[in-house]
Amino acid sequence: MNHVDDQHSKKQVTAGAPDTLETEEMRFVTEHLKQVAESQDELQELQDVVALLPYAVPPVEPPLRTRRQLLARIAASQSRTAPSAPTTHPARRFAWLSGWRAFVPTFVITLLLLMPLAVLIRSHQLRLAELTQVNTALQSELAQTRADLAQMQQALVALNTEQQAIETQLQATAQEVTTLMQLFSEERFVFTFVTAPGVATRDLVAVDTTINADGAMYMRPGQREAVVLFRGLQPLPPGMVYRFWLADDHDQIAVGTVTAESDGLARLTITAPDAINVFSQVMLTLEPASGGDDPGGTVILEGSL
Amino acid sequence: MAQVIAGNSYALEQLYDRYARVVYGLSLRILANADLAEEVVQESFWRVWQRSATFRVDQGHFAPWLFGIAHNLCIDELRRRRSRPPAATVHPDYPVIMNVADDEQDVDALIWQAEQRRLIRNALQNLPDDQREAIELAYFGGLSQREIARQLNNPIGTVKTRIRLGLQKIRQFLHDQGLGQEGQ
Repeated sequence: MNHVDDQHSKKQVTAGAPDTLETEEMRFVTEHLKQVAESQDELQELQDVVALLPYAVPPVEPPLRTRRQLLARIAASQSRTAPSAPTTHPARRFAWLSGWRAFVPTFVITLLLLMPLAVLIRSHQLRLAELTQVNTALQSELAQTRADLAQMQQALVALNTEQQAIETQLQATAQEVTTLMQLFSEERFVFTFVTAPGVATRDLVAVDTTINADGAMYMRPGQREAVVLFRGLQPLPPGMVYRFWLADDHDQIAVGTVTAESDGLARLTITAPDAINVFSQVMLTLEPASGGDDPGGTVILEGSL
Repeated sequence: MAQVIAGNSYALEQLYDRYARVVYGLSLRILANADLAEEVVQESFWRVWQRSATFRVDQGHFAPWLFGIAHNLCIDELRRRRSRPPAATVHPDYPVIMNVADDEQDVDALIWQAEQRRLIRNALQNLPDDQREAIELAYFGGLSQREIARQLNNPIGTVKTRIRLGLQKIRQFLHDQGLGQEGQ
Protein backbone atom coordinates (compact mmCIF):
# COMPACT_ATOMS: atom_id res chain seq x y z
CA MET A 1 0.00 0.00 0.00
CA ASN A 2 1.60 3.31 -1.14
CA HIS A 3 1.13 6.73 0.47
CA VAL A 4 -1.70 7.83 -1.80
CA ASP A 5 -3.61 4.66 -1.20
CA ASP A 6 -2.98 4.96 2.48
CA GLN A 7 -4.36 8.53 2.64
CA HIS A 8 -7.40 7.48 0.62
CA SER A 9 -8.02 4.55 2.91
CA LYS A 10 -7.63 6.70 5.98
CA LYS A 11 -10.16 9.21 4.65
CA GLN A 12 -12.48 6.42 3.78
CA VAL A 13 -12.20 4.93 7.21
CA THR A 14 -12.56 8.06 9.30
CA ALA A 15 -15.31 9.52 7.15
CA GLY A 16 -17.19 6.31 7.65
CA ALA A 17 -17.59 6.94 11.34
CA PRO A 18 -21.26 8.00 11.11
CA ASP A 19 -22.06 4.57 9.57
CA THR A 20 -22.48 6.12 6.17
CA LEU A 21 -20.37 3.65 4.20
CA GLU A 22 -22.05 1.52 1.64
CA THR A 23 -21.36 -2.17 1.31
CA GLU A 24 -18.35 -1.99 -1.00
CA GLU A 25 -16.84 0.82 1.02
CA MET A 26 -17.36 -1.05 4.26
CA ARG A 27 -15.56 -4.10 2.86
CA PHE A 28 -12.65 -1.88 1.90
CA VAL A 29 -12.55 -0.22 5.30
CA THR A 30 -12.66 -3.52 7.13
CA GLU A 31 -9.77 -4.83 5.10
CA HIS A 32 -7.84 -1.66 5.70
CA LEU A 33 -8.41 -1.71 9.44
CA LYS A 34 -6.72 -5.02 9.68
CA GLN A 35 -3.51 -3.39 8.52
CA VAL A 36 -3.51 0.16 9.80
CA ALA A 37 -3.54 0.63 13.58
CA GLU A 38 -3.48 4.41 13.24
CA SER A 39 -6.69 4.37 11.27
CA GLN A 40 -8.28 2.16 13.90
CA ASP A 41 -7.46 4.66 16.61
CA GLU A 42 -8.78 7.61 14.66
CA LEU A 43 -11.91 5.74 13.72
CA GLN A 44 -12.53 4.97 17.35
CA GLU A 45 -12.06 8.59 18.32
CA LEU A 46 -14.43 9.81 15.66
CA GLN A 47 -16.96 7.14 16.54
CA ASP A 48 -16.82 8.47 20.08
CA VAL A 49 -17.60 11.92 18.73
CA VAL A 50 -20.48 10.51 16.73
CA ALA A 51 -21.77 8.85 19.89
CA LEU A 52 -22.23 12.33 21.35
CA LEU A 53 -24.31 13.63 18.46
CA PRO A 54 -27.65 12.54 20.01
CA TYR A 55 -27.05 15.18 22.66
CA ALA A 56 -27.32 17.81 19.98
CA VAL A 57 -31.03 17.03 19.75
CA PRO A 58 -33.36 18.52 22.39
CA PRO A 59 -34.41 15.72 24.72
CA VAL A 60 -38.12 14.92 24.75
CA GLU A 61 -39.99 13.06 27.44
CA PRO A 62 -41.51 9.93 25.90
CA PRO A 63 -45.10 9.02 26.81
CA LEU A 64 -45.50 7.07 30.04
CA ARG A 65 -47.05 4.18 28.16
CA THR A 66 -43.70 3.55 26.47
CA ARG A 67 -42.13 2.90 29.87
CA ARG A 68 -45.09 0.77 31.01
CA GLN A 69 -45.06 -1.30 27.87
CA LEU A 70 -41.32 -1.84 28.13
CA LEU A 71 -41.55 -2.92 31.76
CA ALA A 72 -44.48 -5.20 31.00
CA ARG A 73 -42.48 -6.73 28.20
CA ILE A 74 -39.54 -7.29 30.50
CA ALA A 75 -41.77 -8.65 33.26
CA ALA A 76 -43.34 -11.06 30.80
CA SER A 77 -39.92 -12.25 29.72
CA GLN A 78 -38.87 -12.66 33.34
CA SER A 79 -41.97 -14.68 34.12
CA ARG A 80 -41.08 -17.01 31.25
CA THR A 81 -37.47 -17.36 32.35
CA ALA A 82 -37.83 -17.13 36.14
CA PRO A 83 -36.08 -17.88 38.39
CA SER A 84 -32.96 -17.56 36.22
CA ALA A 85 -33.21 -13.75 36.14
CA PRO A 86 -33.31 -12.60 39.75
CA THR A 87 -34.10 -9.00 40.61
CA THR A 88 -33.07 -7.02 43.66
CA HIS A 89 -35.61 -4.21 43.56
CA PRO A 90 -38.34 -4.85 46.11
CA ALA A 91 -41.01 -3.44 43.86
CA ARG A 92 -39.97 -5.89 41.18
CA ARG A 93 -40.07 -9.02 43.26
CA PHE A 94 -43.63 -9.43 42.15
CA ALA A 95 -42.98 -8.48 38.58
CA TRP A 96 -44.47 -11.77 37.42
CA LEU A 97 -47.76 -10.33 38.51
CA SER A 98 -47.55 -7.66 35.83
CA GLY A 99 -48.91 -10.13 33.32
CA TRP A 100 -52.17 -9.84 35.13
CA ARG A 101 -52.15 -6.07 34.85
CA ALA A 102 -53.90 -6.32 31.52
CA PHE A 103 -56.85 -7.94 33.27
CA VAL A 104 -57.06 -5.38 36.04
CA PRO A 105 -59.19 -2.81 34.13
CA THR A 106 -61.58 -5.53 32.99
CA PHE A 107 -61.69 -6.92 36.49
CA VAL A 108 -62.30 -3.48 37.99
CA ILE A 109 -65.04 -2.66 35.47
CA THR A 110 -66.66 -6.04 36.05
CA LEU A 111 -66.37 -5.52 39.79
CA LEU A 112 -67.93 -2.06 39.51
CA LEU A 113 -70.80 -3.51 37.47
CA LEU A 114 -71.34 -6.43 39.80
CA MET A 115 -71.08 -4.50 43.06
CA PRO A 116 -74.47 -2.69 42.73
CA LEU A 117 -76.06 -5.97 41.65
CA ALA A 118 -74.53 -7.79 44.60
CA VAL A 119 -75.67 -5.03 46.93
CA LEU A 120 -79.18 -5.22 45.45
CA ILE A 121 -79.28 -9.01 45.81
CA ARG A 122 -77.97 -8.77 49.37
CA SER A 123 -80.57 -6.10 50.15
CA HIS A 124 -83.33 -8.30 48.75
CA GLN A 125 -82.03 -11.27 50.70
CA LEU A 126 -82.09 -9.27 53.90
CA ARG A 127 -85.58 -7.97 53.05
CA LEU A 128 -86.75 -11.51 52.28
CA ALA A 129 -85.35 -12.78 55.58
CA GLU A 130 -87.05 -9.92 57.37
CA LEU A 131 -90.37 -10.62 55.64
CA THR A 132 -90.02 -14.33 56.42
CA GLN A 133 -89.56 -13.50 60.09
CA VAL A 134 -92.56 -11.18 60.00
CA ASN A 135 -94.61 -13.85 58.21
CA THR A 136 -93.64 -16.45 60.81
CA ALA A 137 -94.58 -14.08 63.62
CA LEU A 138 -97.90 -13.29 61.93
CA GLN A 139 -98.68 -16.98 61.43
CA SER A 140 -97.92 -17.63 65.10
CA GLU A 141 -100.17 -14.74 66.09
CA LEU A 142 -102.88 -16.02 63.74
CA ALA A 143 -102.74 -19.50 65.29
CA GLN A 144 -102.89 -17.98 68.77
CA THR A 145 -105.82 -15.81 67.72
CA ARG A 146 -107.65 -18.83 66.30
CA ALA A 147 -107.08 -20.74 69.57
CA ASP A 148 -108.33 -17.74 71.55
CA LEU A 149 -111.35 -17.50 69.26
CA ALA A 150 -112.18 -21.20 69.80
CA GLN A 151 -111.90 -20.71 73.56
CA MET A 152 -114.08 -17.63 73.35
CA GLN A 153 -116.65 -19.54 71.27
CA GLN A 154 -116.71 -22.32 73.88
CA ALA A 155 -117.06 -19.74 76.63
CA LEU A 156 -119.85 -18.08 74.67
CA VAL A 157 -121.70 -21.39 74.35
CA ALA A 158 -121.27 -21.94 78.08
CA LEU A 159 -122.50 -18.42 78.74
CA ASN A 160 -125.51 -18.98 76.48
CA THR A 161 -126.32 -22.20 78.32
CA GLU A 162 -125.87 -20.48 81.64
CA GLN A 163 -127.97 -17.56 80.42
CA GLN A 164 -130.74 -19.93 79.37
CA ALA A 165 -130.59 -21.61 82.79
CA ILE A 166 -130.70 -18.22 84.49
CA GLU A 167 -133.60 -17.15 82.30
CA THR A 168 -135.42 -20.34 83.16
CA GLN A 169 -134.71 -19.83 86.84
CA LEU A 170 -135.71 -16.21 86.50
CA GLN A 171 -139.01 -17.24 84.91
CA ALA A 172 -139.59 -19.73 87.73
CA THR A 173 -138.70 -17.11 90.28
CA ALA A 174 -141.01 -14.64 88.57
CA GLN A 175 -143.73 -17.26 88.68
CA GLU A 176 -143.09 -17.83 92.38
CA VAL A 177 -143.13 -14.09 92.96
CA THR A 178 -146.45 -13.89 91.13
CA THR A 179 -147.81 -16.70 93.24
CA LEU A 180 -146.47 -15.11 96.38
CA MET A 181 -147.98 -11.79 95.35
CA GLN A 182 -151.33 -13.52 94.84
CA LEU A 183 -151.02 -15.20 98.22
CA PHE A 184 -149.97 -11.93 99.73
CA SER A 185 -152.95 -10.25 98.12
CA GLU A 186 -155.26 -12.96 99.40
CA GLU A 187 -153.71 -12.79 102.83
CA ARG A 188 -154.11 -9.06 102.88
CA PHE A 189 -157.73 -9.45 101.78
CA VAL A 190 -158.35 -12.03 104.45
CA PHE A 191 -156.62 -9.90 107.05
CA THR A 192 -158.49 -6.81 105.97
CA PHE A 193 -161.71 -8.78 105.86
CA VAL A 194 -161.49 -10.44 109.22
CA THR A 195 -160.22 -7.29 110.99
CA ALA A 196 -162.76 -4.93 109.48
CA PRO A 197 -165.41 -3.47 111.85
CA GLY A 198 -168.84 -5.25 111.83
CA VAL A 199 -167.51 -8.66 110.86
CA ALA A 200 -169.38 -11.54 112.50
CA THR A 201 -167.66 -14.82 113.40
CA ARG A 202 -169.19 -18.26 113.41
CA ASP A 203 -167.38 -21.39 114.69
CA LEU A 204 -167.17 -24.67 112.81
CA VAL A 205 -166.73 -27.70 115.07
CA ALA A 206 -165.97 -31.35 114.46
CA VAL A 207 -168.99 -33.67 114.25
CA ASP A 208 -167.00 -36.44 115.88
CA THR A 209 -164.75 -36.23 118.89
CA THR A 210 -162.18 -38.27 117.02
CA ILE A 211 -161.69 -35.40 114.62
CA ASN A 212 -159.18 -32.97 115.98
CA ALA A 213 -160.05 -30.08 113.69
CA ASP A 214 -162.14 -26.88 113.80
CA GLY A 215 -162.74 -23.67 111.86
CA ALA A 216 -164.06 -20.11 111.99
CA MET A 217 -166.14 -18.23 109.43
CA TYR A 218 -165.92 -14.46 109.10
CA MET A 219 -168.85 -12.75 107.42
CA ARG A 220 -170.80 -9.50 107.18
CA PRO A 221 -174.53 -9.59 107.36
CA GLY A 222 -176.13 -8.72 104.06
CA GLN A 223 -173.01 -9.38 101.95
CA ARG A 224 -172.19 -12.40 99.80
CA GLU A 225 -168.42 -12.68 100.63
CA ALA A 226 -167.09 -14.64 103.56
CA VAL A 227 -163.69 -16.07 104.71
CA VAL A 228 -163.38 -19.45 106.39
CA LEU A 229 -160.21 -20.52 108.25
CA PHE A 230 -159.49 -24.17 109.15
CA ARG A 231 -156.95 -25.97 111.34
CA GLY A 232 -156.20 -29.60 112.19
CA LEU A 233 -157.26 -30.94 108.81
CA GLN A 234 -155.74 -34.33 107.99
CA PRO A 235 -153.98 -34.97 104.74
CA LEU A 236 -156.42 -36.16 102.09
CA PRO A 237 -156.29 -39.66 100.60
CA PRO A 238 -155.86 -39.85 96.85
CA GLY A 239 -158.99 -38.87 94.82
CA MET A 240 -160.66 -37.10 97.72
CA VAL A 241 -161.25 -33.38 98.45
CA TYR A 242 -162.60 -31.24 101.26
CA ARG A 243 -165.76 -29.41 100.01
CA PHE A 244 -167.51 -26.49 101.77
CA TRP A 245 -171.34 -26.15 101.72
CA LEU A 246 -173.92 -23.42 102.45
CA ALA A 247 -177.39 -24.77 103.49
CA ASP A 248 -180.79 -23.48 104.43
CA ASP A 249 -183.96 -25.30 105.12
CA HIS A 250 -184.31 -26.51 101.54
CA ASP A 251 -180.99 -26.62 99.68
CA GLN A 252 -177.29 -27.37 100.15
CA ILE A 253 -174.93 -25.45 97.88
CA ALA A 254 -171.20 -26.30 97.36
CA VAL A 255 -169.23 -23.03 97.27
CA GLY A 256 -165.68 -24.34 97.09
CA THR A 257 -163.06 -26.91 97.89
CA VAL A 258 -160.46 -26.62 100.58
CA THR A 259 -156.76 -27.47 100.17
CA ALA A 260 -155.07 -28.16 103.50
CA GLU A 261 -151.39 -27.28 104.08
CA SER A 262 -148.98 -29.82 105.53
CA ASP A 263 -149.49 -28.28 108.95
CA GLY A 264 -153.26 -28.89 108.72
CA LEU A 265 -154.15 -25.18 108.13
CA ALA A 266 -156.40 -24.07 105.26
CA ARG A 267 -158.30 -20.98 104.12
CA LEU A 268 -161.29 -20.50 101.86
CA THR A 269 -162.78 -17.31 100.49
CA ILE A 270 -166.30 -17.74 99.20
CA THR A 271 -168.79 -15.73 97.27
CA ALA A 272 -172.28 -16.97 97.99
CA PRO A 273 -175.15 -16.83 95.45
CA ASP A 274 -177.06 -14.68 97.97
CA ALA A 275 -176.32 -12.80 101.18
CA ILE A 276 -174.57 -15.00 103.68
CA ASN A 277 -177.08 -14.41 106.41
CA VAL A 278 -179.78 -15.95 104.21
CA PHE A 279 -178.24 -19.37 104.86
CA SER A 280 -178.69 -21.11 108.20
CA GLN A 281 -175.90 -23.70 108.29
CA VAL A 282 -172.41 -24.42 106.85
CA MET A 283 -170.43 -27.70 106.74
CA LEU A 284 -167.15 -29.22 105.43
CA THR A 285 -167.39 -32.71 103.97
CA LEU A 286 -164.92 -35.26 102.64
CA GLU A 287 -165.99 -35.99 99.03
CA PRO A 288 -164.66 -37.73 95.97
CA ALA A 289 -162.97 -35.28 93.62
CA SER A 290 -165.54 -36.22 90.97
CA GLY A 291 -168.43 -35.70 93.35
CA GLY A 292 -171.75 -34.09 92.33
CA ASP A 293 -173.78 -31.15 93.61
CA ASP A 294 -175.27 -33.01 96.58
CA PRO A 295 -173.22 -33.86 99.61
CA GLY A 296 -172.76 -37.63 99.96
CA GLY A 297 -169.55 -37.92 101.81
CA THR A 298 -168.48 -37.77 105.41
CA VAL A 299 -169.21 -34.53 107.31
CA ILE A 300 -166.05 -33.29 109.05
CA LEU A 301 -167.05 -29.84 110.44
CA GLU A 302 -170.36 -28.04 110.81
CA GLY A 303 -171.66 -24.75 112.14
CA SER A 304 -174.76 -22.67 112.55
CA LEU A 305 -175.12 -19.18 111.09
CA MET B 1 -25.14 -1.71 33.61
CA ALA B 2 -23.64 -4.59 35.56
CA GLN B 3 -26.94 -4.86 37.41
CA VAL B 4 -28.81 -5.04 34.13
CA ILE B 5 -26.50 -7.81 33.00
CA ALA B 6 -27.34 -9.58 36.26
CA GLY B 7 -31.01 -9.43 35.35
CA ASN B 8 -32.02 -6.54 37.55
CA SER B 9 -34.92 -4.90 35.78
CA TYR B 10 -34.92 -2.03 38.25
CA ALA B 11 -31.43 -1.10 37.05
CA LEU B 12 -32.79 -0.99 33.52
CA GLU B 13 -35.56 1.30 34.74
CA GLN B 14 -32.94 3.65 36.10
CA LEU B 15 -31.11 3.65 32.77
CA TYR B 16 -34.41 4.27 31.03
CA ASP B 17 -35.18 7.23 33.26
CA ARG B 18 -31.73 8.64 32.54
CA TYR B 19 -31.50 8.18 28.75
CA ALA B 20 -35.02 7.69 27.37
CA ARG B 21 -35.50 11.42 26.80
CA VAL B 22 -32.33 11.58 24.69
CA VAL B 23 -33.29 8.48 22.72
CA TYR B 24 -36.82 9.72 22.16
CA GLY B 25 -35.60 13.14 21.08
CA LEU B 26 -33.11 11.55 18.69
CA SER B 27 -35.76 9.23 17.28
CA LEU B 28 -38.22 12.07 16.81
CA ARG B 29 -35.54 14.08 15.11
CA ILE B 30 -34.69 11.33 12.65
CA LEU B 31 -38.11 9.77 12.07
CA ALA B 32 -40.35 12.83 12.56
CA ASN B 33 -43.03 10.45 13.76
CA ALA B 34 -44.05 10.14 17.41
CA ASP B 35 -45.42 6.58 17.16
CA LEU B 36 -42.32 5.29 15.42
CA ALA B 37 -40.11 7.17 17.87
CA GLU B 38 -41.90 5.48 20.79
CA GLU B 39 -41.33 2.12 19.16
CA VAL B 40 -37.63 2.89 18.74
CA VAL B 41 -37.32 3.87 22.42
CA GLN B 42 -39.01 0.72 23.61
CA GLU B 43 -37.14 -1.51 21.18
CA SER B 44 -33.77 0.07 22.04
CA PHE B 45 -34.13 -0.60 25.77
CA TRP B 46 -35.60 -4.02 25.05
CA ARG B 47 -32.47 -4.90 23.08
CA VAL B 48 -30.32 -3.53 25.88
CA TRP B 49 -32.18 -5.86 28.25
CA GLN B 50 -31.91 -8.84 25.94
CA ARG B 51 -28.35 -8.27 24.76
CA SER B 52 -26.91 -6.98 28.00
CA ALA B 53 -24.73 -10.07 28.27
CA THR B 54 -22.86 -8.98 25.12
CA PHE B 55 -22.00 -5.61 26.61
CA ARG B 56 -18.36 -5.32 27.77
CA VAL B 57 -18.48 -3.32 30.96
CA ASP B 58 -14.72 -3.05 31.17
CA GLN B 59 -14.29 -1.78 27.64
CA GLY B 60 -17.34 0.15 26.63
CA HIS B 61 -19.69 2.80 27.81
CA PHE B 62 -23.42 2.44 27.99
CA ALA B 63 -24.62 5.67 26.41
CA PRO B 64 -22.77 5.26 23.08
CA TRP B 65 -23.95 1.66 22.95
CA LEU B 66 -27.57 2.61 23.57
CA PHE B 67 -27.45 5.53 21.17
CA GLY B 68 -25.87 3.31 18.54
CA ILE B 69 -28.73 0.82 18.90
CA ALA B 70 -31.36 3.56 18.71
CA HIS B 71 -29.64 5.24 15.76
CA ASN B 72 -29.40 1.98 13.84
CA LEU B 73 -33.11 1.31 14.48
CA CYS B 74 -33.99 4.75 13.19
CA ILE B 75 -31.84 4.38 10.10
CA ASP B 76 -33.27 0.93 9.43
CA GLU B 77 -36.76 2.37 9.68
CA LEU B 78 -35.88 5.21 7.34
CA ARG B 79 -34.43 2.85 4.80
CA ARG B 80 -37.30 0.43 5.20
CA ARG B 81 -39.95 2.91 4.30
CA ARG B 82 -37.60 4.47 1.72
CA SER B 83 -38.68 7.94 2.46
CA ARG B 84 -36.40 10.53 3.87
CA PRO B 85 -37.24 13.35 6.27
CA PRO B 86 -36.24 16.87 5.32
CA ALA B 87 -32.61 17.75 5.67
CA ALA B 88 -31.46 18.18 9.23
CA THR B 89 -30.51 21.78 8.85
CA VAL B 90 -33.95 22.79 7.65
CA HIS B 91 -36.09 20.52 9.84
CA PRO B 92 -38.93 22.74 11.11
CA ASP B 93 -39.74 20.91 14.30
CA TYR B 94 -36.36 19.57 15.40
CA PRO B 95 -33.53 21.94 14.56
CA VAL B 96 -30.29 20.44 15.67
CA ILE B 97 -28.76 23.56 17.09
CA MET B 98 -31.19 25.24 19.35
CA ASN B 99 -31.35 26.38 22.89
CA VAL B 100 -34.37 24.59 24.30
CA ALA B 101 -35.08 24.82 28.01
CA ASP B 102 -34.42 21.54 29.72
CA ASP B 103 -36.95 20.35 32.26
CA GLU B 104 -34.86 17.50 33.55
CA GLN B 105 -35.66 16.34 37.04
CA ASP B 106 -32.99 13.67 37.52
CA VAL B 107 -30.24 15.83 38.90
CA ASP B 108 -26.72 14.47 38.78
CA ALA B 109 -26.61 12.41 35.63
CA LEU B 110 -28.86 14.77 33.74
CA ILE B 111 -26.80 17.82 34.65
CA TRP B 112 -23.89 16.02 33.04
CA GLN B 113 -26.05 15.24 30.03
CA ALA B 114 -27.03 18.88 29.80
CA GLU B 115 -23.40 19.90 29.85
CA GLN B 116 -22.58 17.41 27.11
CA ARG B 117 -25.53 18.72 25.14
CA ARG B 118 -24.31 22.29 25.50
CA LEU B 119 -20.82 21.35 24.38
CA ILE B 120 -21.85 19.29 21.39
CA ARG B 121 -24.23 22.01 20.27
CA ASN B 122 -21.49 24.56 20.52
CA ALA B 123 -19.16 22.24 18.70
CA LEU B 124 -21.64 21.81 15.85
CA GLN B 125 -22.35 25.51 15.81
CA ASN B 126 -18.68 26.27 15.41
CA LEU B 127 -18.36 24.06 12.34
CA PRO B 128 -18.43 25.49 8.85
CA ASP B 129 -21.89 25.13 7.38
CA ASP B 130 -20.92 22.63 4.72
CA GLN B 131 -19.26 20.31 7.24
CA ARG B 132 -22.15 20.57 9.70
CA GLU B 133 -24.65 19.94 6.92
CA ALA B 134 -22.81 16.85 5.75
CA ILE B 135 -22.62 15.42 9.26
CA GLU B 136 -26.28 16.10 9.99
CA LEU B 137 -27.46 14.62 6.71
CA ALA B 138 -25.40 11.56 7.47
CA TYR B 139 -26.31 11.08 11.08
CA PHE B 140 -29.80 12.52 11.41
CA GLY B 141 -30.87 12.14 7.81
CA GLY B 142 -29.71 8.55 7.49
CA LEU B 143 -28.15 9.22 4.10
CA SER B 144 -25.14 7.40 2.78
CA GLN B 145 -22.15 9.39 1.56
CA ARG B 146 -23.17 8.74 -2.00
CA GLU B 147 -26.71 9.96 -1.32
CA ILE B 148 -25.35 13.06 0.40
CA ALA B 149 -23.13 13.76 -2.53
CA ARG B 150 -26.06 13.39 -4.87
CA GLN B 151 -28.27 15.61 -2.76
CA LEU B 152 -25.63 18.32 -2.36
CA ASN B 153 -24.44 17.91 -5.93
CA ASN B 154 -20.87 17.47 -4.72
CA PRO B 155 -18.28 14.79 -5.42
CA ILE B 156 -18.38 11.98 -2.96
CA GLY B 157 -14.76 12.67 -2.07
CA THR B 158 -15.74 16.14 -0.99
CA VAL B 159 -18.48 14.72 1.23
CA LYS B 160 -16.05 12.31 2.82
CA THR B 161 -13.59 15.13 3.50
CA ARG B 162 -16.26 17.39 5.02
CA ILE B 163 -17.49 14.68 7.31
CA ARG B 164 -14.01 13.71 8.41
CA LEU B 165 -12.90 17.26 9.00
CA GLY B 166 -16.12 18.11 10.81
CA LEU B 167 -15.79 15.21 13.19
CA GLN B 168 -12.15 16.00 13.83
CA LYS B 169 -13.03 19.58 14.70
CA ILE B 170 -15.76 18.48 17.04
CA ARG B 171 -13.36 16.10 18.72
CA GLN B 172 -10.79 18.84 19.14
CA PHE B 173 -13.38 21.29 20.42
CA LEU B 174 -14.63 18.84 23.01
CA HIS B 175 -11.08 18.02 23.99
CA ASP B 176 -10.33 21.71 24.44
CA GLN B 177 -13.44 22.08 26.59
CA GLY B 178 -12.25 19.31 28.88
CA LEU B 179 -14.77 16.77 27.72
CA GLY B 180 -13.31 13.37 27.06
CA GLN B 181 -14.07 11.33 24.13
CA GLU B 182 -17.17 9.67 25.36
CA GLY B 183 -20.58 10.61 26.42
CA GLN B 184 -20.80 8.37 29.38
